[in-house]
Amino acid sequence: MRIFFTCTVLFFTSTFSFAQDKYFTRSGKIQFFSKTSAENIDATNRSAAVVLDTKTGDLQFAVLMKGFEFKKALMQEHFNKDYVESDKFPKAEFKGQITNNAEIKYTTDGAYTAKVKGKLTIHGETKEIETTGTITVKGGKISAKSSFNVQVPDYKIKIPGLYRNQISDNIKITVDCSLEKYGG
Amino acid sequence: MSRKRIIWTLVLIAVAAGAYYGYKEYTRTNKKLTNAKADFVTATPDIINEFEIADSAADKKYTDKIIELNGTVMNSALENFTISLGVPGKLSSVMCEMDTSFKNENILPVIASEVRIRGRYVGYQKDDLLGVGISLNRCIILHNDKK
Repeated sequence: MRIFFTCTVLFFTSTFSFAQDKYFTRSGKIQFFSKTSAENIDATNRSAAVVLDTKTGDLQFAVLMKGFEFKKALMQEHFNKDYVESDKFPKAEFKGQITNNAEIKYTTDGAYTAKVKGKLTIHGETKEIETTGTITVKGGKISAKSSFNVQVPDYKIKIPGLYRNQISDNIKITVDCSLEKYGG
Repeated sequence: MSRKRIIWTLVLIAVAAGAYYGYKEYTRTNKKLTNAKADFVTATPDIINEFEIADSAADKKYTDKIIELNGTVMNSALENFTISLGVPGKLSSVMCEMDTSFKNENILPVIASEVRIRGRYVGYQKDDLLGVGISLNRCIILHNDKK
């Protein structure tokens, strides 16, 4: 009986601790920007799901491709139908880790440089990426920002010849999110 | 007027019309949903339930459709112009990205208030940790019961 009671207490304590280390949001902002001499194109998605485990540094985000909003409707339609084929590949995902997680003091206010490494999947293609970002802790809240570049051909995204000059192969991606503690 | 001249005039008119159409299509922006007719009218608990029970079928049902729904504001990230509608005690939610014109409108949904929103279904994400997250964008507020 005593063993059962002890095990039960340990189980619920560990579950509670597990939840305490996780921060998340469903309203993360992800932007991408393409710069060419012909045209600059940018699009924003404001409902990225992001989960950060402050204990392990595990970091994941997922974003629906159809959620990217462009200024021009025609560009948005081409993006979904022809470039990223969002009906076939509805999500882009990142699964990785903050490699210097031990250096980030999540309980002390401040801005910390985070080194991030992981796998980015777009259009069904997965590539290893490495970048840096900033984790800001203020009043118990965590926000994360990062900016990195991806090469369009790496993800087998084909741009038709007609629009070749308007879309850069090198796209800048910016991530900006405010995280709340899982479980409140 | 000679026959040749008439033909050339018609060709020029066709080219000008084509160029005008091309320009309008190229610069077309997404229309605001203010006057759009909703394909579905539902409530937040009901749509969350649909996705929790049969997500693929629900996704197929709502893909590219305009949805109008009532719901309780669980969270609002006004720096991002997003509102989360949900059910108390559940992590599953409907994420509403407000129309970009929202920032100019003087409507601030308060947490726990009841709102009626119209938006375009974008998709959903489902996992063991966060439950179901249903995404709508280009959302407009039809009614806001401030508390």
